[in-house]
Amino acid sequence: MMKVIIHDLDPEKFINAFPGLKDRDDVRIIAETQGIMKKCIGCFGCWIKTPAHCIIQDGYNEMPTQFDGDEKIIISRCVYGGYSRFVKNVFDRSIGSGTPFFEIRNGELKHVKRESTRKEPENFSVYMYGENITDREKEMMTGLFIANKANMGPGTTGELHFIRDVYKEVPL
Amino acid sequence: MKLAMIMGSPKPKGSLSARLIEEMTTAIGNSGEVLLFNAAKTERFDEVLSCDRLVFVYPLYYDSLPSHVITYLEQLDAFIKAHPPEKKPSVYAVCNLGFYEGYQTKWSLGRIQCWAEAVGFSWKAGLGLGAGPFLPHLPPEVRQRTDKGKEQFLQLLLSDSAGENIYTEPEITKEMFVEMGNGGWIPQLEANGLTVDDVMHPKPKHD
Repeated sequence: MMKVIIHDLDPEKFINAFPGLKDRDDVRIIAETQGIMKKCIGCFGCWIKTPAHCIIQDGYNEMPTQFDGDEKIIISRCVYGGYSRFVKNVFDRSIGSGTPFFEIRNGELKHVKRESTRKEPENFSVYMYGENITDREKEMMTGLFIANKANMGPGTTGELHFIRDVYKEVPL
Repeated sequence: MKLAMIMGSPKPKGSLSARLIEEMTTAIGNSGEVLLFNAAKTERFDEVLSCDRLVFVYPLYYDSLPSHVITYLEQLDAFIKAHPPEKKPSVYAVCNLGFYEGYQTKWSLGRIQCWAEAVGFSWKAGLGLGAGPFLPHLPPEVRQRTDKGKEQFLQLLLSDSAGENIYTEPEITKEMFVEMGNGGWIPQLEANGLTVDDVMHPKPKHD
């Protein structure tokens, strides 16, 4: 069971706060550890040139495969009712984890997923932190979370949480 | 009237966002002065804030804003707080997506609304265009709802009015759209010496 944790906090402070996650084969932590992550340029290279590999060679080019896990935990500052710049960039640079092809799922257009070796649908938990998250931000983030789950595949489970203190409130 | 068109596509040329900005600029004509900005460049904020209306034009990336647009919004927010502008522009947004349903842009347009509220500007309306990149290739008879939506949005923009977000989709069935979209990838894959199977079963790294 691979647990993928994607966060926008200081990488060193995070791992010191959760030392039990260190050097685990079943835990992959994605943080901004390789310098500033370049933005997705919308070239579709990860779909039609080097499927499942991003062409931007900046240390984050394997996001399409690293993004995938049995359990995905997102920890993000809430920025205008959505993910922060780094966390959103991880999503953007991971579109190669799916395919460019369309299908209709539950009446809506979605991308065709690749066959998975997972026995159970993915679990997707999101922790949005911030001091003054407004009701509208919560509404927009809730809509985004539901849309993300629908895109990740049928049966994706998990909950969205609005929190103040990552180090006290995220159960890792 | 001065309008700031802020381009949120990362593509240097040929994006639908750029095309939509061109279309709106042409339609505005002598009714206003249009200044062009690119969200990839966090600069010229004083010029942006000299405008009466801000229009963010961007593609939907993974259900939301492209990450560099978030950076732009945060830096413009910080600039506004450090240098409060004399006038507060109205805020509009146009989002296009590759999927059929324009309403899938709702959560991204809502983020621009949240930004407007955070900086104390007035949010007016958003336009979500389904089938975005395909629109230039569709015949006019299946773009009627889209063209009507664009017109309605432009009227709101030119009159500085607020309205409900406008969502459009083409007048073809979803099944036809899926077939058209999927068929469009095949020649692009073949041009790169790849097949559908290469996409469905990609090679591991260093293989």
